[in-house]
Amino acid sequence: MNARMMRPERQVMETDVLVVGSEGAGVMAAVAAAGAGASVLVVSKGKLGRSGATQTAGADFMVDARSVVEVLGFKEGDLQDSPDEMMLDIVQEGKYLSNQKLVEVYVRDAPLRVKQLIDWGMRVAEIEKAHGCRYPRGVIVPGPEIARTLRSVAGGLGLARVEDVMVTDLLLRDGCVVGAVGLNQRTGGAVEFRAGAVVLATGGWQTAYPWTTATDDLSGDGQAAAYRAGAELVDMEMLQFLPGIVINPPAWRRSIFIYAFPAGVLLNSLGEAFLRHWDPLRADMPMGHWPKETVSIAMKLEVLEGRGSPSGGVYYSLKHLPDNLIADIMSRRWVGEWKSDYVDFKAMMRYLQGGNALEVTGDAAHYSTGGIRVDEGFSTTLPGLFAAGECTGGMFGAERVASACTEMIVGGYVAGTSAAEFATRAGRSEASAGQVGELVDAIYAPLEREAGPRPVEVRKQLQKVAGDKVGVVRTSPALTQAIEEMVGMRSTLDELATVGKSLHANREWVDALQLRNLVPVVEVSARSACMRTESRGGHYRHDYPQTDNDHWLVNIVVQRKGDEPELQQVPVTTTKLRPPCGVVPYIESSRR
Amino acid sequence: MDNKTIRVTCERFDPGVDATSREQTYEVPFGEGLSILNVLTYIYENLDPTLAFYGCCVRGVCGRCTMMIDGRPALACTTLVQGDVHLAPLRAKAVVRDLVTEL
Repeated sequence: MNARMMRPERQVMETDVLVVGSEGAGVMAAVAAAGAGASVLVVSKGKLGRSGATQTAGADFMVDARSVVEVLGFKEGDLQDSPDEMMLDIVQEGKYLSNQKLVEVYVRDAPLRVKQLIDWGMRVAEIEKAHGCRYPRGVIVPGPEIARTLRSVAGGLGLARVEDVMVTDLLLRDGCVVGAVGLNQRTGGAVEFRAGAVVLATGGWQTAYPWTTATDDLSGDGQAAAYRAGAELVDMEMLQFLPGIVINPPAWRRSIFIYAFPAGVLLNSLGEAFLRHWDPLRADMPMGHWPKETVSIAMKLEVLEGRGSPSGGVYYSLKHLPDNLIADIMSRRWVGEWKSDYVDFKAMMRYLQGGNALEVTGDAAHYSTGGIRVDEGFSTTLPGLFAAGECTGGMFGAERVASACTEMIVGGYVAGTSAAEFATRAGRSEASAGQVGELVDAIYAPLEREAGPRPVEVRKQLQKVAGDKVGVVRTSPALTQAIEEMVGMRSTLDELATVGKSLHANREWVDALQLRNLVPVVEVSARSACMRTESRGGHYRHDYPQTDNDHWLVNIVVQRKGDEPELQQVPVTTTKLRPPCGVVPYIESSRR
Repeated sequence: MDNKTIRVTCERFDPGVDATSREQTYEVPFGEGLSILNVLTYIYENLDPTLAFYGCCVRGVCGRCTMMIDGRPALACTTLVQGDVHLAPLRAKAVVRDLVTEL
């Protein structure tokens, strides 16, 4: 049977600005581009306002506390603060790897963009001074409320959109991005987008890891498409992991529950409260009082050294606490309701109070700090291509503490404005001959191939390599192996075959296309991590446990040359803040 | 986990192939703290990669895994498995395939 006969007719859509991604960064880009007079089309891999990480944000938009008063009109702010003060904190927390021009845009535009969302009807729950933060900068809005606001704005403006379409590649003409191709997951049809400019707002690549706090759709689609098209990626070794994420029982996976109940104790498979070996001064403190990086590293080393739980985590127990004390903590923190993010934890508490431990991981992939390299106009290094939000790199340098929600709306708006300007000037042109056909063939390849490695199995292999070798604890031998395994997997990508051949909602097919993005992204991350022979922020090298400001205040930039990634070290972009010098132990540099 | 298993019956329909829907039953290991979405993922990864279902946020926010669970509309990601269970696509929406609707 010639499976190729089944392909539905290819759909062609045209627009001035194509926005890939439909959440915080994407909708903001679309609003800005439409406001600048461009025609706009938003493509969502899922549904607008119901995809990606935005809807799951637990927390806040960050705005300097002076603007909280003066621009947003909340009396809970603080006039002592300023955008410059906030910039200092972001750059320090990023261990001086941030592109300071990007941070300047962040602190400059944060109040304006948050004001815009509030004017559109977004309800602010409260103004908060975060733990360890000098000023009350947290404008607290739960993710579902942000998502609701985005849906309402998109509806109100009548933004054109296509949903359940996964964009797989960018189209080029003379080195300039002129559109994209993708798969309609409902119909199994290919879509060709012709555009004057493209904005990527596709989020992170956390699903490369066995454990994550992210949603299922974040598979590095934008980073990989940009890389294949020739754009530069930056800081790809920088990824943020969170310790203490539930992995068993399975129903509560991805939950950050134990942050709301930090009085529990972490135990290894020998039953030891292993954290005490790390810092005797904190030995009796509950987990919540430890720096997250230390906890992550400690947990991962227990697992790597053979003292982990069956699923590769450690245990979290409340058994040392009397029942009436648990009830007391519960009534104060949770007002008697074991509910968070709409998930009901009552059954989990029964499980814990029944004397069982949860299995928790030390290294759930939480936020992609590096990504597509952009300048302060959120232009990538390819003409016609712009990017915003988590898929970009450079804003937070080596570590993010400041709000990613602010990053997405600030970057989205600038990217949309720049893209509209570019599209108006450049107009539309067709992709070079043969390109669309070739990229559409790549979409159908795993479906039409009769037999080959199964996407589900390859994904498990990939996640194991990423988790064990490109995770929280890194060493030269492990990273070298990871690179070799990814190079091997490149050829596996050309052999993947789905078992089921349905055109409609075919998970394996989408898994195969996601692997095509995750494999190069993990490879690039491992190569960057291998090159950086020091420890800084989200990047801990067990074999190089020092933060070396004399040699490593550089960003690692990656670009595809032929079939191979080429890595380059470039000096950090600074404006007003001078980086420190000297070499300090990681454990010290990671303290805030 | 003990060795107990449950029977998960899914309504299946592929508009490209089938004239009417049919039912398929899978036997799945059962343990405490298992959601319907966990069970579907187990089936997808270990028993039948052709089963179509959708999940995104996995924490009750996006609503895209809504389906008929034992005859009632509910979220697969936040509904705990109690025992044998019957799954069907949401009735109010057009079926894309199996448990996926144009939701």
